[in-house]
Amino acid sequence: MNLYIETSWGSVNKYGEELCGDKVEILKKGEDTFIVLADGLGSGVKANILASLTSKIAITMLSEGAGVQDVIETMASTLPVCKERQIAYSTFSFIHIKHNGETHLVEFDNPDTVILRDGKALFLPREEYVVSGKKIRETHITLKPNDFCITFSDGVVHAGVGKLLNLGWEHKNVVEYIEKSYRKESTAFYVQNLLLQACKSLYMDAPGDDTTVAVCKIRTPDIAYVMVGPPLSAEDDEKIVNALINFNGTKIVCGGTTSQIVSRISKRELQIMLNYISPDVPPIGRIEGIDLVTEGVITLGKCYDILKRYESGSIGRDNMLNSKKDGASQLAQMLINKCTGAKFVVGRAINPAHQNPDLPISLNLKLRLVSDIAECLKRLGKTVEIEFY
Amino acid sequence: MPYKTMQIKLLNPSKSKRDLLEDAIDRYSTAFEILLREIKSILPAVLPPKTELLKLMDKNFFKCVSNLGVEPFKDALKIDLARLLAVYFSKKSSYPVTRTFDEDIMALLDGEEKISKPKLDAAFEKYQKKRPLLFCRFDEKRDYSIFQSEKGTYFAKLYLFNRKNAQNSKRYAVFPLDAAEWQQKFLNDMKSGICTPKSAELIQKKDEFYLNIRFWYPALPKHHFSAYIGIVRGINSDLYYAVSLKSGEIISTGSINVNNIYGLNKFHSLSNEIIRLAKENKAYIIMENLSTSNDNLKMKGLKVPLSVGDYNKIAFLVSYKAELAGLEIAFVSANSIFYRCTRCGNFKRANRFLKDKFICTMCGHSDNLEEIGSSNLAKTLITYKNNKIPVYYKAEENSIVFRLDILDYEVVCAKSLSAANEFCERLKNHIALNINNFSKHQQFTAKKLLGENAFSKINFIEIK
Repeated sequence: MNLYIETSWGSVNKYGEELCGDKVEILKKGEDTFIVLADGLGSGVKANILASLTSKIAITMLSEGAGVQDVIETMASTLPVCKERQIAYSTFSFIHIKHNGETHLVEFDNPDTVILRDGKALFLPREEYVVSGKKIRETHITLKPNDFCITFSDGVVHAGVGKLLNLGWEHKNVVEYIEKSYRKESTAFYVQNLLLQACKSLYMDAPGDDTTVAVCKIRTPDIAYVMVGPPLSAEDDEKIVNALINFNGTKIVCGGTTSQIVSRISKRELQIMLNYISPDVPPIGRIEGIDLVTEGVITLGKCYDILKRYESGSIGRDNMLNSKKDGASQLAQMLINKCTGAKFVVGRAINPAHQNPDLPISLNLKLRLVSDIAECLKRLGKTVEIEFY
Repeated sequence: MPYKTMQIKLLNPSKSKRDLLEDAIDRYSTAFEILLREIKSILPAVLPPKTELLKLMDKNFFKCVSNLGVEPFKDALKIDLARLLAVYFSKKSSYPVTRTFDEDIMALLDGEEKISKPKLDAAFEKYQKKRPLLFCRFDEKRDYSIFQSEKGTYFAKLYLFNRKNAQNSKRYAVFPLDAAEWQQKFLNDMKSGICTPKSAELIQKKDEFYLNIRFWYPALPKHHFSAYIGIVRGINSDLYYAVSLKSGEIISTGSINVNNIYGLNKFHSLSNEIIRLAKENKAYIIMENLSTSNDNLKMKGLKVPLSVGDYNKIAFLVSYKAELAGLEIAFVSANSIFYRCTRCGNFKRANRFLKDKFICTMCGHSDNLEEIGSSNLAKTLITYKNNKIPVYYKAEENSIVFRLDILDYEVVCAKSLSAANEFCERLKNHIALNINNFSKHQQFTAKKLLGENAFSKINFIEIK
């Protein structure tokens, strides 16, 4: 079975620096995923150049099948030499995950990558060898669904040094924190953002080093089929509804008329649920065999708000995602936590009530919302497809 | 009603006066124990109201101690007995014994029953034990009073004798008092009418005699407060505080430490510091209620400077000092304050990190544990005010039944998407009409709902 590799990364710049001295490159090539996290010597522009070059060289060469030795030698001869220290230096971690979970991990002077399985960090014996005077550590492992692969720069390990923590966070404590905060339903973005927020907080919002976290979560693919609005032509109704019913994944219907169409064609009763009342979001419905039935434009608008808040990592986002049970929150929860991608099937039949007379006719509110949600999901590492009828 | 107790020494009483005092205390202690045994046979099974209890101690009741000359202490004995019996009934422990006599010891030793060592120890411990002599009122004609001579010396006038034993036809004796600066403050307050002297106790410590006088100070009118100050037990300091504005914004935090002072004096110093901080910040004091729940601050390998008992003592001192200073104080549950994230509200034991640090496992927020605890405590009342009120509803075929238990209000609305809005409107009308009939607790809820946007203050819960 092909696994889905959900990836996410983020950085916090050293206090007062415009550029980050860490760099992450993620490449999806065929069914394989390549991730490189490089940490350039020093900080600012110089470190940024070193990290960018290292990550680019490493990901390009390694993804093309070059050996680690070739990569190290190329880097040593390519990287600009630091005037002060007379060395060309950038640490890096390289992760190559195949579609079946087989993973190749190469590290050079970066903190150990953490593999989290069922909330516990795995101890991986690493093979050590020297290439061009550089000590390389390498390991192989087969990742399983719901495993996390978390790699980070030394900014994480040193977080809080001299401030909240005398000796910094330390690797063993970082691992302990990752284990403590483990939740099966967490996304790669969530874990990455959580670690960065913790570092930022430990540095008391003035990081003493560039801090970067890259996270992969191994997931079983689960695509959401999201039917939004009735098709322009009523002839397409049956075709789309049948595709929805027969879809192998999560099934979502957005829109009052749309849900009536699904109910009519599938000959399944549509029930309006009043078990959660929210002043802002219309109630949800229920059709047997469909995972979620919601109202259309208002719910999509609210869902987009939640996704944006989640993406920005704003405070309380988790509450928004997990505790609320209105249609918009449920839709966002499914798209973020449950699904690895989404297929939006958007009907273009126009509901006059949703048009703003001040806007050009072409800016259909519903289509705009769907494309905004799709963009947001792509940024969160999901595969998104949109079909119009 | 705030009371302050002042201890003042009787200044070098002569040998004869010393004997008089010792004799008075002895007579009082003996009489008290005899009366305590006497009343046991007439006591009902449950504690009667104070008036009923005092009625039991009539003229005849005191006949058994008529030979002790305790007439001047009659009222004091009654009150003292009532107090002790109230404690006995509340604790439901064995019947109290305050003093043992020769006969008691002999009876124990000569008895046929085998006697345990603790029982014998207790009997010896209370052998001829002296009880503080209570003067139940400040009065120039009876009990006790204090006056100042022309030279400025203070004297205590203590009524110690009955008519029969009167010394030079006087039932009282006068003792000069050793009034230092601290005592003078109370006495000056008494003279200028700021405080009122109430009861007093005569005690003997080694060879010295002291009067413990209780003064009643009227509470100051409550200050308008603009912030909350939360006081928690510290880890690296005795106490830790955080000041929160009414909006919930923390404006200052810090530790409260007292060095080189121990025991009760330390607690007084800490409580004075709390009062000073509260005054400075015009803050409402919020302290942990550690008598009903624990704050779970202590953990293996971590030594906390103040025990729960110490904190409770400080809390007691702060409570009356706050009243005297016109400050408000609340004791709130300490449950979870050290484990709840101040940023996202996530509560997990796992949030605690390295004994004295906190890193939220939900949002990554980190801080010192003391800061987290005190901030949470300072914001408790704000959180409480912002808590939503549960309204239960049940969807029926054509209607939805809403029920608000706190106000005992139930209403049926037509089944539509605006049913909740309709409920809110009808609830507002109901509150406006009946607010004067609500209990205090109900009025709090009602006022919360009367403000703008009542909808946001309600948590709708479906009954299935």
